[in-house]
Amino acid sequence: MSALASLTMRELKKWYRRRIAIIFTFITPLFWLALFGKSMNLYSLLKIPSNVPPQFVQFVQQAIDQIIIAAFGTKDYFTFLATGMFSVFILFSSMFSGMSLIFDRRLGYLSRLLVAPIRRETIFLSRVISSIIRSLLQFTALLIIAIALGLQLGDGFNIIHLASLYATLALLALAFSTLFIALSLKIEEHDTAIAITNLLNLPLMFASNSIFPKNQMPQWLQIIADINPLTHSNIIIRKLVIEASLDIPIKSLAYLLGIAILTTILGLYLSRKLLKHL
Amino acid sequence: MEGLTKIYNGEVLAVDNISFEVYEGEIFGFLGPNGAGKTTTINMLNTLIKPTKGYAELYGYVLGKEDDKIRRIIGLVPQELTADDELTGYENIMLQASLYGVDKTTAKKRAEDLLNMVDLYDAANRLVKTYSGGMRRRLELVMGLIHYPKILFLDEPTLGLDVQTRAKIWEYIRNLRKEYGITIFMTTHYMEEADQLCDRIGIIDKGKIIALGTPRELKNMLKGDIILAEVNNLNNFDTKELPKIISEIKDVKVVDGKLAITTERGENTLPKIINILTEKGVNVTSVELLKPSLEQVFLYLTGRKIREEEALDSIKMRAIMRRRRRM
Repeated sequence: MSALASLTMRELKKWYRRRIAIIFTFITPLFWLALFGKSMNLYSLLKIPSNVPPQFVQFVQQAIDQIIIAAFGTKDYFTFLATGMFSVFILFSSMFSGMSLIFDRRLGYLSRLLVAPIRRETIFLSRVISSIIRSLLQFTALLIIAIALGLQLGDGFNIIHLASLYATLALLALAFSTLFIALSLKIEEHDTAIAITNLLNLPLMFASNSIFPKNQMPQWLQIIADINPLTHSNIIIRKLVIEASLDIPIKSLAYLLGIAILTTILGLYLSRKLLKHL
Repeated sequence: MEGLTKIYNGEVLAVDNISFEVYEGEIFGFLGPNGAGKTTTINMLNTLIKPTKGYAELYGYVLGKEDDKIRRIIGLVPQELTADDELTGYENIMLQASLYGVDKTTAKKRAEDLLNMVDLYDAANRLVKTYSGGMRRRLELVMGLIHYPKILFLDEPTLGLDVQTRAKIWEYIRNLRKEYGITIFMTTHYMEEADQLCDRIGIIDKGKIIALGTPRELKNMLKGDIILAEVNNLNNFDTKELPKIISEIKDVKVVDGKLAITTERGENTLPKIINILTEKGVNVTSVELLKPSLEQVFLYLTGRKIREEEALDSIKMRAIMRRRRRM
């Protein structure tokens, strides 16, 4: 096996052996899905009041439907939220991808890797690849849970949509994991990494269209949401899942791709530079 | 190696302009207290840290220019136990092999041989976190050897091990040289270890090599035994008089209020010395007779015992390293 494959396997083996820890990865997104997504039932909040004359019930109902669909793309808020949580979940699971590098530095394993005749980028890439694999496997579990909780797939959702969904999330995972691993290249204490993570996770989630649609946000927040990669992956994912359409906005796809390429190049460059010596 | 120097942060001089040569196939030992610069030297030679200045060559490859080639021919057994404790011993070994491009069949064969050599074969499929300290040391040894390096760096290979395990490790190291012809560069602060194991020893103190030679050559520097005498009211006694009265005495030094007397046949001169000192009004409160050993060589060269400063130095050094890393 090549050094890259073995080092990737090492990460995955260690992850697999920490089964308890895996459960915790699901807790936050599950809370959002089950508690927030299920309790925030917009459709029943907007039930037609009993004093509406019967001859208007149909029109009012249509108006409500159209308002909700215009805002969320679906009548079911849970489906909107669940599809938004997919990207957030990838963010959360990628955020800690740099942690193993920090521990390797602390425990001395990194020295072992640095004296070995391997490319410095290999050390970096093994974490990126394992992080993406990990994220996608965990996502599969989340997808099943979401469907069980009532996620409504668009009519005509097929294997191509599913594959595109995975590809989009893989791209997002690549962008986030390269970024967070690059940040961890020279960090010594895991507290620092956790602090950075905590500083970024909720703001990134709220400043996107994950929980609420973007167009009802104030102008300044829309600007932030527009540069947030989560917004763009959500746009693509909702197109694929809710509408079962392959008509993906090129702008969002190009943006995601651009970010992923940029962070990957940055990570490769920094690993080459910073992992030269201890 | 010539003029190798490492300065941390531009202020802490860890290794000061050292030059020496290690011959192919020998066991070369770096002996000195903690913080003397042993590990820093090893880490410069194994490409882990960058020398501030100086030149070094390993099997013709120039350090800093051909690091990748150097990495191929060296093995490192670091001071800390760094095998991944969430993997099994065997997984650690195979992973290590793949880092060096050793193919799986070869690696399996070698792993079996090496595991047998260090009596770890039965425990190979257990997670490393279940290993004892001695077992982990032996695993580190196997991991450092799986790619059959030409030079093996052993940084304090028996640190913190009990006497029996230490003797076992020495045996493995001797075996290695015999069976694989590996050049071994090791550091230790155990005198006995250097004496027993090494063909040649460099004594290093405060970043400088203060003596270099075979254990026998080093011990011959002493020209005899050392008597350490703790004394009171030395003021009105000229220590230079002692060699004049007793011809066996070669040298007298005062170190931290103690008399350090180098003499032949210490057993015989000791009573005489006490008599004379008492006659001259010097009050002898305790004496110690030390036979030639590397411990005495260090004492002779530096005026200090190797262990006295050890704790302090290592704490200081670690604090410095920590500070350096933060920056």
